[in-house]
Amino acid sequence: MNANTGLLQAELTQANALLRTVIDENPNIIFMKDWAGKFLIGNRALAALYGTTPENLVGKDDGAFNKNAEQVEFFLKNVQAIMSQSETQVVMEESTHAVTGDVTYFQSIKKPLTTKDGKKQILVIANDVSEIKRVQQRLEESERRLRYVLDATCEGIWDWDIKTGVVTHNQQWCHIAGLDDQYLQHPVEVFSTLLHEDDKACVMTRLQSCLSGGGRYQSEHRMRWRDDRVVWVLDRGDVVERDSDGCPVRMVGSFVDISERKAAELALTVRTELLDAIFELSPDGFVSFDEAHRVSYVSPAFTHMTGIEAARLHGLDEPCFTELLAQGCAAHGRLQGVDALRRSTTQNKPDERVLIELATPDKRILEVGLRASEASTVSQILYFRDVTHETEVDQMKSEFLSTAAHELRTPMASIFGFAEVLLTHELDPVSQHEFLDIIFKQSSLMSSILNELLDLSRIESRRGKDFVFEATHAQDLIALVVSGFKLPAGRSMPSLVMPNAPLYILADHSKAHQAILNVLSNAYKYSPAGGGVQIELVQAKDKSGLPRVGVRVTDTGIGMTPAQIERIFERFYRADTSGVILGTGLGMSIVKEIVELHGGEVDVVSQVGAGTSVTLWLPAS
Amino acid sequence: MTTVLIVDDRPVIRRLIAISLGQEFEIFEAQDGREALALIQTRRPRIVFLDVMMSGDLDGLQVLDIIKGDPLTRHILVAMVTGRGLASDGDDARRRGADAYFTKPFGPHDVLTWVRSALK
Repeated sequence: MNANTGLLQAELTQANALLRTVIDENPNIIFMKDWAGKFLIGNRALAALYGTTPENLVGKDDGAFNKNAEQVEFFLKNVQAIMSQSETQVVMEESTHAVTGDVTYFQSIKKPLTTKDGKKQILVIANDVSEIKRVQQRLEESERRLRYVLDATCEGIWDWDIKTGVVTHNQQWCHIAGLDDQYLQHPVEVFSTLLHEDDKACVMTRLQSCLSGGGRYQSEHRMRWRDDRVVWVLDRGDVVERDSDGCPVRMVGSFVDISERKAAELALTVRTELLDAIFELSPDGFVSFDEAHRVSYVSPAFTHMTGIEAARLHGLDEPCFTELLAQGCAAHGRLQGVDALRRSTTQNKPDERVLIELATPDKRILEVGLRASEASTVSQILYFRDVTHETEVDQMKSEFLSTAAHELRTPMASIFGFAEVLLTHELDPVSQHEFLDIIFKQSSLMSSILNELLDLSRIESRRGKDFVFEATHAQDLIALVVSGFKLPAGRSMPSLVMPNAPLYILADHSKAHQAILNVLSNAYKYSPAGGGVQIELVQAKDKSGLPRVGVRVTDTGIGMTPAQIERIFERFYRADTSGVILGTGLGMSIVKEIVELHGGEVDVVSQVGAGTSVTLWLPAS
Repeated sequence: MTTVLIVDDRPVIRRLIAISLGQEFEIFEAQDGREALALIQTRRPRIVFLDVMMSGDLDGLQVLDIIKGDPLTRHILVAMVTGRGLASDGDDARRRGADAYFTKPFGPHDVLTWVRSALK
């Protein structure tokens, strides 16, 4: 061995060491395998992957370090395939870490080699691309997610290249617009042709504002598609790129069909207006409670009835509401709590109602009902109906019936009782005559009561509709009443004080006749001592200044106390209760009804022991 | 002779009750509550027929309360007479101590039957 050879040997050894260092320090995996897949050489990166040392790799195959048999088989087949073809290939492959199980992705350059003795070997330089691979996977996942979201929400998206004037859409956009996929890209001018003519100017203004830096673009507007269908859309977007001069370059956005929502909103608006009108106009009061059982709405009629302003009620819970309402109620007429009303309102009795009595601002009887609501925002609605008038009428009716029954039973008691006396007692002729006379008079009284009750009820139910008002000669009418009057025995005719010039009244002839006759009959009945009776015709003006004529009947009889005058028009009220003066107690009620239906009034002046003067004021014709 | 007071503002009803009772009773009549109370004090009747609805400041039920509220007059038999005739009226009168309740119309037989049984 010469020195030269020694020098060469030393240089070779040095070069080998350098190569080894380069191979070992390289972050890429570098190794060589023989045909059987056994490592001829392997660097530190590979040893680190397989959890061993470079020296320990030599002479072993992948199976010694990688538990993933599938990968091991792939590696062997792949390198053998490449070795048999003698062309360098780039292979994407993965390797599982023996200890951690982490998967590493490689882009491997595989170069087949052949030794001088013809043995096939392969050099593999594997570049770890795991990070790139993961970024790629995340990107794909992100794109997939966006697509899913857009598909799920039915959002159309648009991307406007402002310099070229081309707008790009997704399929969803075309779908909403009723267009096929050839419209995925189109000039921006097409967009404006799709806008509803009434909304175009407004949309353009908003877009322009966004382009010139006035903030995000958002618009709810109508679009008129090619098939003339009008849809409402919610369109949103923003400029995402501007050039160095600040001019917009790119604008993107999304839009969605909100036609259904708009239709629902419109229906809701119509319904709300309708309900508002009903609540405003209804004479019944309504108070609604929200899901927390607090007052959420108060109708104007409720405030009108109770005098409680809506603002004082809003947000009150049930006990506070009941308390506030109770402050205006009579002590005996309070609402016994909303919960009590709710409990009594069951499925079988959905219209259970209670009565409450207000003392302020006016005395009113209110009927209160509760309706539970199925709606999520309304728990229940209370409604209040003013039944003051009905209640009073009911009360008057039952009082009237009770009084009428009483008044009829009294003569009936006499008829029944004295008839039994006549049937069961041995009586002398004088007594017999006396009792028969009682029966006769009480029968006529009963008959009069029934007739007058019918008169009164007819007048009341017709409310004057059957009255025929005509110009009536007052003097003639009075003369007619007097001539038809059955003068009590031993009494003289009434004296008449009437002007010569004819006076005309606007009256129903027969009803006015009946009224004057009743008053005249009273004048004789209540002056049993036989004093004179006078009928006078007087003229005056009523409160509105219209001329009227008074028929004044004056007697010099027993007269009335102020307390008696007060009750004179009360049904069945009799100033005389001794039974000496027969009467029904209905005559003056009838007079009052008739005169008032003529638009007139009745004046009564009286003094006990001096007499009574009754004036029937009727409108002059 | 048993004393009976008939209180009614209608003479015809007083007359009917008086005739119904016949000759075996001593009868006094009053036409209102005040007059009735005065006669109860002076005549101490055994039986009183009392109209429920009377004119004047005292009605029949108020007079009944006074009679039944006074230990000296509590024992007096009181028959209320009325033209109303709702079942509840009779209940109310009995609760307040009335011994009988006559609803119009009624005949002499009813009156006499009650008086005789009440006096036994």
